[in-house]
Amino acid sequence: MNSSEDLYRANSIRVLSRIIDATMLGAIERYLKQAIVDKNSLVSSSALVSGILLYKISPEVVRRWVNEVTEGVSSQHEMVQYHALSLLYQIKAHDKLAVSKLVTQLSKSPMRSPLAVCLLIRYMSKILHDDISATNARAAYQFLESSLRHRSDMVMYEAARAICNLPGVEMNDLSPAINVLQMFLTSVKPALKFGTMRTLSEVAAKYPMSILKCNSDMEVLISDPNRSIATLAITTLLKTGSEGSVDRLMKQISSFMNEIADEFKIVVVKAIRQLCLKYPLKHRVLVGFLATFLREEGGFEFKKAITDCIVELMTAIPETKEMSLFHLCDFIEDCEFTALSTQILSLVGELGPSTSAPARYIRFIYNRVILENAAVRAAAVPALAKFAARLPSLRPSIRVLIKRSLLDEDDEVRDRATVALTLLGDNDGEDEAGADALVEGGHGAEETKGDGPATAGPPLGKPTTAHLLLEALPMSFSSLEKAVKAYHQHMPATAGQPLVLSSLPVVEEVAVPTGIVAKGAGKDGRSGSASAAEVAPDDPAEHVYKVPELERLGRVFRSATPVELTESETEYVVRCVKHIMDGYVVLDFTISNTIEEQMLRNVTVEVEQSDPDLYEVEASVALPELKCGDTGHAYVVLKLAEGNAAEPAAFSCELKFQALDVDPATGLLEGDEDEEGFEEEYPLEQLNIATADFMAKVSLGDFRRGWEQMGAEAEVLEKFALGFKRLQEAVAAVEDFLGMQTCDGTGSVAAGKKEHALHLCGIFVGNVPVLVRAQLNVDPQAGCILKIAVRSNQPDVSRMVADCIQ
Amino acid sequence: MNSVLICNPDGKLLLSRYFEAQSHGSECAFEPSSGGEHTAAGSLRDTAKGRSSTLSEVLGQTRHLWTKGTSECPQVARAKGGLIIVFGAVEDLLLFLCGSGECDELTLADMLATLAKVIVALCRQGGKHQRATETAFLSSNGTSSIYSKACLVIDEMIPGGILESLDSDAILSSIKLQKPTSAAPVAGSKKGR
Repeated sequence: MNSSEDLYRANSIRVLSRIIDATMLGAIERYLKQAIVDKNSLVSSSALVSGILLYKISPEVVRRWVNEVTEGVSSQHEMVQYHALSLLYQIKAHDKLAVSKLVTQLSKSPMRSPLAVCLLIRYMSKILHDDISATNARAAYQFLESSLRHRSDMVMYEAARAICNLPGVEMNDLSPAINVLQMFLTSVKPALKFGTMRTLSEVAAKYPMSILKCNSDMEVLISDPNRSIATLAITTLLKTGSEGSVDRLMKQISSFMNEIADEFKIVVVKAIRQLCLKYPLKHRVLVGFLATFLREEGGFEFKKAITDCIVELMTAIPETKEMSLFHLCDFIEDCEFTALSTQILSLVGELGPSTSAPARYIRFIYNRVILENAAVRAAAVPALAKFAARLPSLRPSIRVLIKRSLLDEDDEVRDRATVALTLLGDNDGEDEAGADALVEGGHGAEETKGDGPATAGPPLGKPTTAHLLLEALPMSFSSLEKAVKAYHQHMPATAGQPLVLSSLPVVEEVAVPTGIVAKGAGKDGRSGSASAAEVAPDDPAEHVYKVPELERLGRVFRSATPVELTESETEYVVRCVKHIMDGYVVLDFTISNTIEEQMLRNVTVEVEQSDPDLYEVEASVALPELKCGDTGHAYVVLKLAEGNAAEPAAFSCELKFQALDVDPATGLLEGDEDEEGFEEEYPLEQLNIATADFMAKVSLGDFRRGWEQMGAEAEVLEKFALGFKRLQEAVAAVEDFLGMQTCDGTGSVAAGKKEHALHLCGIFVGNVPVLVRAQLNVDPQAGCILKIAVRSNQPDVSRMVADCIQ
Repeated sequence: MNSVLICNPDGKLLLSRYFEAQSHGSECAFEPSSGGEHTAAGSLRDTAKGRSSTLSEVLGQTRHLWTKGTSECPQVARAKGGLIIVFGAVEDLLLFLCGSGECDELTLADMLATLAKVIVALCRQGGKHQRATETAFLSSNGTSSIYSKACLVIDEMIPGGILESLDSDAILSSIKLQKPTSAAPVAGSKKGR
């Protein structure tokens, strides 16, 4: 390392940087600092690269080299400049202001190394991404624009890419970058063409109009020998192409689709889907094109992508329905993938009966019964049965077909055929009573698509049993599994009675609150995953059942989404989950201690309500001990006062505990084990209980039928004026106020509409099913008018739900 | 920088260098392991699995370009996980460089140009008309072979996956443990762009 030979010095630095540990680094630091400012570029570069590697081992030592590294940035050697800038950024990365200063300063004095300029552009782009409104944003943009005229292609490309990726960039600002990219499209270097196409395809997703001028150049690239470039070109063109160019593009794509890998084909298929949604009039060409490739060679993923795409287009563009169904039927005639065949068969069963000529699908389905494996045969039988159930004219013939499956070699097929024939009325009278009992008890969480023919009502002679064929299970299989597990875990008093769907606990489809997962992630992956697991356990009330003091309260009806009662960076992080029970609310406080020098004992949360008549604090369960980094639970049991069904209330909360000093190095108490510690209080944010917390977000099957069955005896009608300007906002707010599940796909509003009908359903605490019909009108003068009708079997519940609107 | 691979024209691997082997996680990104605790043996197995999966991905994505006379300029392809492959034929060898993120296609193309130049120069040292072929690459003249020199070249050019030098002359002198000649005092100044 002290050799006079530069080459030996450089190599010894490289070797040392690989083998040295943090404690030894101090001993050679002096030499490394000297090496950084060495006049020989090899030595200097080696020392800087070593610095980049050593920064991971011992950042505090490398940070001390900042002066030498800064000197390196102004070196006359290109590679030294590049490495010095890279290391300097690493050293300053945690200090945004310092980075901003460094970048501004360097952008004023041109650097020799194109690689270093590229780095600078990246850093600048990152700063602009973090804060586009920064005071020097305009100057930064000007630097990027001036870099578009750099002598090196690499810098020009980097600058163009940075401009294209700027958040909220305007068309005018984008245009010089697009010009440069257009020029690169005709380059002879594939790498440059590829990079340019990659950037343009990203721009096309956000600003398709801005790259129209590149279309002709991109069309040339479709025939590029490099398939990566060609695929990018074609998918970009599909995003930017006009309606007139669709036919021509399709012709060009079909010429090379066979040559590219399946994963690129999937990209093309997705782009075609977007195009079809953009130009619905072209659906015939586009769906025809997709169908062609359905028949060609390809793996499962590719075929699945096409099938999904066709199915999605069927819902988005109803005109494609019949044609697409026919294409799909054609596909299953020769389909090697069981999963796709069964999916398509079930779809044909759903949609086929409502087409103009339903009888022609029977042949396709029955062919499957004759020719395919057991799983497909088992899917074909219910599909046939659905046709029979909805079309009385075909029923006798289909019954004959299904009867043949009674002798199938597979038991599942035989079972399904038997069930279908029974429900279709093969044995009149039998099983009807049992079927009715099943239907009446059937409510729970459900994941229906909401657009099946079931919503149209069963137009047949025997609606009582045949609609069982047309309706899905009232809850998804995963919900059913969860419900049965929860039932088993906490057996109610009625255990021993026959189990029906209505006696199962309510299971909501809980969406994982991603924000909380991100906030809860700790320093290392382990604690991050642990907190993620805590946020979304299978059953959020799992640990409530383990507390002996809470056992007498019974089963949790539902658990609300967690509410943060502190900021995520504070000393003690507290989150609250409200577990709703019959007559009680259990506040489950999840508490984390982040102070290394402290251990908490006897942790409780004191709650005080604004209106003392509504709830009574019946019990409080303290957390005995909480070490740093640990998370524990404290509970408060609120009893609903007499006459209060589920009134909203606000609670002020305060964390109370005894703090004991701990040695952070050993994690042991500094004082005696039985020391009392000092009492402390820590204020938390206010906690609200709303009526919506008592409502479980679950589907109740067919909304119209449920509505009619419920009757108007306990109906409440109300009219409200809401302060919303846009219909979608109002719909989201009503959903939020009521805490109910939207039905029949009424949760989304078509663009440009002035009125909207919203259907909501849910189960109120005490297993009271509630249905809501809401009519929203938006008028520029009058604002938003909401007319709401609430039905349930208890008038006071209907009233309370209607009063949720604020 | 992810990896450097050198293959014969049939796609048989002659030399491979994976820079992300130290960071085990990214290696596994190609082929996620089945989960559970990573034992030393398990981690080695995952690494090997990840590597072979990268290799087959790289070869699969680029194979259609091998025979089309693409030697004049490096070609590009994409692979899973945002990986970019830049490759080119150097006489009778195929060179692949893979990278992602900061190490984009243009940087990789520059590296490939330098690496190709150095390998051709190494082969020519064995004889004026010696082409870069599989045989030449693997043959040994007692103490050293082009294979071992290529390893040194990669170490010199991209130690630990960080681009250090793009100057072919400087690299050639360094691997002989000679001082860079005075003609090339500034590393990287002769970039072939």
